[in-house]
Amino acid sequence: MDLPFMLIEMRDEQTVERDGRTLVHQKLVRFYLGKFGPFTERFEAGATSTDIGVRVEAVRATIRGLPS
Amino acid sequence: MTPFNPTALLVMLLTFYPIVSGGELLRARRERPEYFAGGEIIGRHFDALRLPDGVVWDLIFAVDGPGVPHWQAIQPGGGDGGAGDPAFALAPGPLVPIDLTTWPTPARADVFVPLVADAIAALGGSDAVLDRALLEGIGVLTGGDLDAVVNAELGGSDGILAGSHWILDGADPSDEIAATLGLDPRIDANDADYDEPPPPDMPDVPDPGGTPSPDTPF
Repeated sequence: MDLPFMLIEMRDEQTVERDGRTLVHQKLVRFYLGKFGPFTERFEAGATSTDIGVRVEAVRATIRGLPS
Repeated sequence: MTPFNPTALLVMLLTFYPIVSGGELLRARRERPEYFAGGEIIGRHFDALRLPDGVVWDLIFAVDGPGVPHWQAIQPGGGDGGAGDPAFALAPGPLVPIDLTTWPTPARADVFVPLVADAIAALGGSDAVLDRALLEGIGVLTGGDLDAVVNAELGGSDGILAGSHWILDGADPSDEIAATLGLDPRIDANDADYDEPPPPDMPDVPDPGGTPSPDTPF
């Protein structure tokens, strides 16, 4: 099954922890894999393309394992 | 908000949450809220999702049965996802990014400049009239002329102030100062004995009845 990666959105975001004081810096990635999606994943602010690719591949493997 | 996509939700659960339970579903809802499209986890075992439009999705198979639980995404009534309140129907997905080039930039419309220009033109040369009046006023009311006009119209304040100053300069407060030297600046609450007559005693309270005899039965 061909599941091309299509990036919809990638942005850095800051959220506040529950303690109300700590800022969490994250990278948000929204993408499609073929007709599946959108998938929205958050990574650490310093995540590399390899880190993102690993997770995308995990999602892709799950989709390929779905009964057709 | 990301439109709800049950397939994406199921894939996400299968990929990142290998342990199937209501607790893990709650954790997924907290960690990845976009997949849940604003819905809330419901059910006695936290195994279902109710979307804002009222549609319910069962997300755990055999959550309390004898079988092995696993993730699923089905509607209990067998619906197709479009059986919610039509007033809050979800947008069909997947959404595509908006092409901003299809939104033409509105042309700049000069609205206020023509309005002001027309209003000034309607005055018909009033600027010259106002300028002349201003110059005439400046020429008349300057320096001593202005003081003269104010004094004539308002009576002038210089004379009143001078008179007040003359009265204050001539006042001699020595008598008041001498009179206060013999006064005690303190207030003594025990300066004199209490000499008012005492209040009268309270009258005796009449006896409502005779004193019962010790032998009188109740």
